[in-house]
Amino acid sequence: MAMDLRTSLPAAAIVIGCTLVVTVRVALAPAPVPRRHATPEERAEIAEAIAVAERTWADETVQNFPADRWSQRDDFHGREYRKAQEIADEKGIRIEDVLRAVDDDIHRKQAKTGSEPDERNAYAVPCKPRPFYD
Amino acid sequence: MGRLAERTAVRLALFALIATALVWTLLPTAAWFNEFRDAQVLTLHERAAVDSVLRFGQLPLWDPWYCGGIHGLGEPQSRFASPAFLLSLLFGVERAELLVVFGFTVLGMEGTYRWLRLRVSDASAALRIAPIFALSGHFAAAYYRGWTNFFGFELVPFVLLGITLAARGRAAGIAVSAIAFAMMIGFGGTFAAPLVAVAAVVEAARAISEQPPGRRLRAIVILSALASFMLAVAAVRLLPLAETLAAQPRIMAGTPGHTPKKLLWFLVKSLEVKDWNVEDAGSFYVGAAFVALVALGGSERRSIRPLVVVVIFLWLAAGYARKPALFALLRELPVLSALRYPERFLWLAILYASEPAANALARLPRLGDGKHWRFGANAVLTLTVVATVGLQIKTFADVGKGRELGVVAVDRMKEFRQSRGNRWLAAHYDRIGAGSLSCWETHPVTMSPKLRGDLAAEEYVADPELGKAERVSWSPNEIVVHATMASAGRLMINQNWHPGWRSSVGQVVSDDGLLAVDLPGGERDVKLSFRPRSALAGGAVTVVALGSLVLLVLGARRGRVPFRRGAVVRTTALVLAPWAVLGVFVATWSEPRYPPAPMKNANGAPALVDGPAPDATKLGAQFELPLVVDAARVAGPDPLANLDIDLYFRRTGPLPRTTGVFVHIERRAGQEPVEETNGKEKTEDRFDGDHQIVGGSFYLSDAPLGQVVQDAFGVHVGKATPGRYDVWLGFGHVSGRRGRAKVTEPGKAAVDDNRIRIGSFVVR
Repeated sequence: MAMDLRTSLPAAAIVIGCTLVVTVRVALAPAPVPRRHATPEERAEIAEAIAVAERTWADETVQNFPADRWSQRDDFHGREYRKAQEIADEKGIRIEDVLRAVDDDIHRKQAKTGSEPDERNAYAVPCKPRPFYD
Repeated sequence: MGRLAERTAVRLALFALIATALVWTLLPTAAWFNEFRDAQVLTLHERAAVDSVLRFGQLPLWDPWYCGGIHGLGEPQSRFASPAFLLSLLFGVERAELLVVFGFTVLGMEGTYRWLRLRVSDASAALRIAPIFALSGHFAAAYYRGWTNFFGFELVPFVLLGITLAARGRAAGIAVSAIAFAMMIGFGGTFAAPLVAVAAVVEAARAISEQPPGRRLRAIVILSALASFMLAVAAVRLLPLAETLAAQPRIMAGTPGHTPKKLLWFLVKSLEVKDWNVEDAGSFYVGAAFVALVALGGSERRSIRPLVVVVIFLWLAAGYARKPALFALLRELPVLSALRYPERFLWLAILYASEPAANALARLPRLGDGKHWRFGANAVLTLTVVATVGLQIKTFADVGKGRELGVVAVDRMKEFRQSRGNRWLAAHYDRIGAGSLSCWETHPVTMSPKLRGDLAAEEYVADPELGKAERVSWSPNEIVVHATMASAGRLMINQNWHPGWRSSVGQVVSDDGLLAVDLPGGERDVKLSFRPRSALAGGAVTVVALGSLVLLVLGARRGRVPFRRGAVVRTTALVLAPWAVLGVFVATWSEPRYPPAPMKNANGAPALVDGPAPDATKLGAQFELPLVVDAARVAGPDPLANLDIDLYFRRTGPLPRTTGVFVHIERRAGQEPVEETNGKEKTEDRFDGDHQIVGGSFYLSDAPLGQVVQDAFGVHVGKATPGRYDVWLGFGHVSGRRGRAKVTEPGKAAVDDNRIRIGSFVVR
């Protein structure tokens, strides 16, 4: 029994110690500081830049994935993602502000019902992942 | 050493130290966000659950922030239905990840040790080898990609441990397996589940075979009870999952496979990051020393059984590259038909290989004579294992540091609204208070094509002439709208419909998949609530199953061993109690069925039609397979150099799953060759449009008998050499008995090389 305690107590202390150290370090790890907000002028500029770029993406995505609407849209968003990152890095602003600028721009001409014409790929293309991965 | 290894506290201390070393260098970046594309979606699922609880004080049932709204518990990749969710609630999603890694890694090592000890006599050998599986390269790859849910796989040893204990008559084994399995499934281990099912069958067969013949029947009965409890304890997650996947099944095609050399590279090469992803080689890293130990331990008689299992899992991991392909056979089974990435069976191979490796550690020092030999051999072997574990920790740290880290800043809009979104940046959208309609999941999510990311208001009246709607309050599971209707009309909510939605007034309906309520005329508040039967029934079954498990284990401690004389009725009642609860729910809680989404091609055209399109060319061709090609249409190339092809065919008899369509687009022979111009991209004379899934929805073998299938697809021929091209169609097998089916009746089509010509076009 004494032998048990001689080994088990320090062992238990190690387990508790490790758990505490990891937990405390996780809890106290410095939170990254977000970049600055975009100015209204920058937001307008970003919205315009993405809207212009979208026109070229459409043809490319159709060529990459003929007759596959979800893959085309996903390719479109892949390009949008790169462009948004590029703009955020270039201007040193939050990526959220880039996304918000685009979304506000899309919402600027607001649709009242689901059947109105869609000029900005704002309607949903149901998720239909390609059936192979090899 | 052996006696120390047997002490739980000592083992856990060692494992905690190893796990601390594993995460140590990554702790300073614990608050950062993993920007990898999959991490975006997986983080969003977890964050949606956290927000539901902390911001709205609701259970995380409906997730409106992704894909237009999904049933959180029915989403295969969400991980909140497990105790680890408390960490996300307490520390936030990003910070909780390293705690999950720490905790699950310790569990993985302890589970492996305990499982090994069932058959490895030397405790110190089991202790030394246990970390290898828990630290294997795929966990590093999973951490890199944000696949935190894959850490649930660390619980597999506990599932197997419970199976063997139960087969040996110990009731605690049932509890161990059932709880480990439920945690794994609740933690988003739906990819692990099919693999675990295979491993569980193998372990059960092994455990039963180890029993004396007279006890085998009882072992089978106990294992049946165990299987029942595994399903019942995990019901809170399994029922919603089953509902989702029955309506939105994932279809996997392709013939993935790996050569023996590639499998070896998976295991022994160092894992590296390249082009913002981890490489295949090393993605199951256990090191060459471990492989050598397995080989050394393989000479032991007691290692034969685990080695046979290892060979089976290696065979499965080889996929279609090893003929005959066991993996292909497995895919024929209904639940396992969507299996992909055969290399994941290496996980199980590693686990089972730990047994011969531990045998080697135990046996080798005893081969020589004398104290010095034993000490030396033990030291060398231990250092070898320590070096391997060290390399695994280093790999984890290096790969972890290679992640692209970012910041997610919260700056929400006043009101929730759907946006076009972007799944590549999905985790940034809910921070601005928007849902992302851009959706990527592992299965085809039922989404309404009427969802829009540009609406003036998320709640509106379908016919604005009939009335108006104004949001009163919004939360994930409950939306209140003030509706003023001049007459009866339809209120539309810009989210997906699900049968779990209910309304305080009127009738909830699906308007082309969109959530809608048919309202009578008048002015009132309409409250929509999400109360899905699958989650509520599943939760009740889980609670009752856990209670039954407790009673079962406590009863066994008092001598009422499951299914022994005097305990048969009691045990049976405890096993059946959760299912009785399910029966009560089904009988009393009415809810419409969640219907499968309409089967459509990737271009949105229906997969099943009454007959060929009027402008399609009639063919009437038949093959030696039970298939009739009624017609085909080849349109294009269009200005973007895309060719649109529609095939119309009927299945007239049974077909093997391996049957596929091949389409060859070939420049007609006898035309003038076109000289290549220096500096221009090389042109091509041949293109393929081969595929196994038809109509974008099902295997050719599963096409409804006698029904006309419209199979629409496109081919880009932008690099085609100018000239006339023919489009040829044939059928064959993608694996096993390869080769083309002969044309038995060409109908109106030209035939060449067991193919029929379905069209031609000119490229200028």
